Amino acid sequence: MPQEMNLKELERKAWRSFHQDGLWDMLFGLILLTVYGGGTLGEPQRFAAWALLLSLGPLFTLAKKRITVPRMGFVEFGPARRSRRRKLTTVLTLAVFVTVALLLATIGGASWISDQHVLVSFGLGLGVFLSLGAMAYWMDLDRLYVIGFVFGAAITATELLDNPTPLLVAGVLVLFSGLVLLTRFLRAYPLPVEDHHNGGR
Amino acid sequence: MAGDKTSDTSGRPLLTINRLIHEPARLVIVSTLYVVERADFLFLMRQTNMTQGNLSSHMNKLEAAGYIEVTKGFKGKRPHTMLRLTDSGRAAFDAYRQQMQKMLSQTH
Repeated sequence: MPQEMNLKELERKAWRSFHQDGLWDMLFGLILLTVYGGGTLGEPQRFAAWALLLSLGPLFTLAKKRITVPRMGFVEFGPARRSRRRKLTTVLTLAVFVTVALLLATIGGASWISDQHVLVSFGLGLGVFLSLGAMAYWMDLDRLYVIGFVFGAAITATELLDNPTPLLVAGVLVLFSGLVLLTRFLRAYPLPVEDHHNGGR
Repeated sequence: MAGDKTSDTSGRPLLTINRLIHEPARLVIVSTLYVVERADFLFLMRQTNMTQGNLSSHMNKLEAAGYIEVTKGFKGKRPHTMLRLTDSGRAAFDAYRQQMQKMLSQTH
């Protein structure tokens, strides 16, 4: 029914307007760069890179709170969005378990990983792409498909070449696109004057 | 109150339309609040592209009709206004949509 479609479109527009700030791009760009740093830097800097990787989640939440909300306003979306978030959390938790299992298998010296190096490399890239694809689908953010593709391709290329440079290139590209979006967002939505928060009453 | 309806409307369905909601600016406000749980004043300003005064004036009318609930509070030290569509506002918007759809389908 066209009316239902239009209301869905209105909700989607409101949702997406809240995520046009480039912060997702910057988050994944920084993840790629910290993984690159963690794999290439010396001992003390490597520790800093992993610490930064762990703090990216809280930093992202803080940036949303300090950059996006004061400019776009606060909104609570409906139960449909919460249900999508629950599904996404389940899929991402599963992805984390698979990653940890693969990591443990690698550390444990599982021979099939080195025997099937090419297959495992493509599998890792595909896994990353599917995880970010799930995020893109359930979060209604098409840009995450592209980021997922770049991220997955960088992981596969890094594994196949045994060289982390693709992670650096992909990280810089994704981070840069995030910075461009953030700059546009800051220009389009400057901080409002004080009165706008209380309806001028 | 709600609707500004006229008493004699037989044969003139347009006159039974809820004019409080039918006004374009208020229609945008109500439909935006319909698709979210609640939002603050700034978010509505951004979504509707209305000025503060304009939005505030329409907000007052919708609040007076009981269609929206306005909650004044503080975020830190700053005053903060949250808006939510009430059950009666949601029902009025549903009725408005049905009526409009019925009318538009009759014109085909």
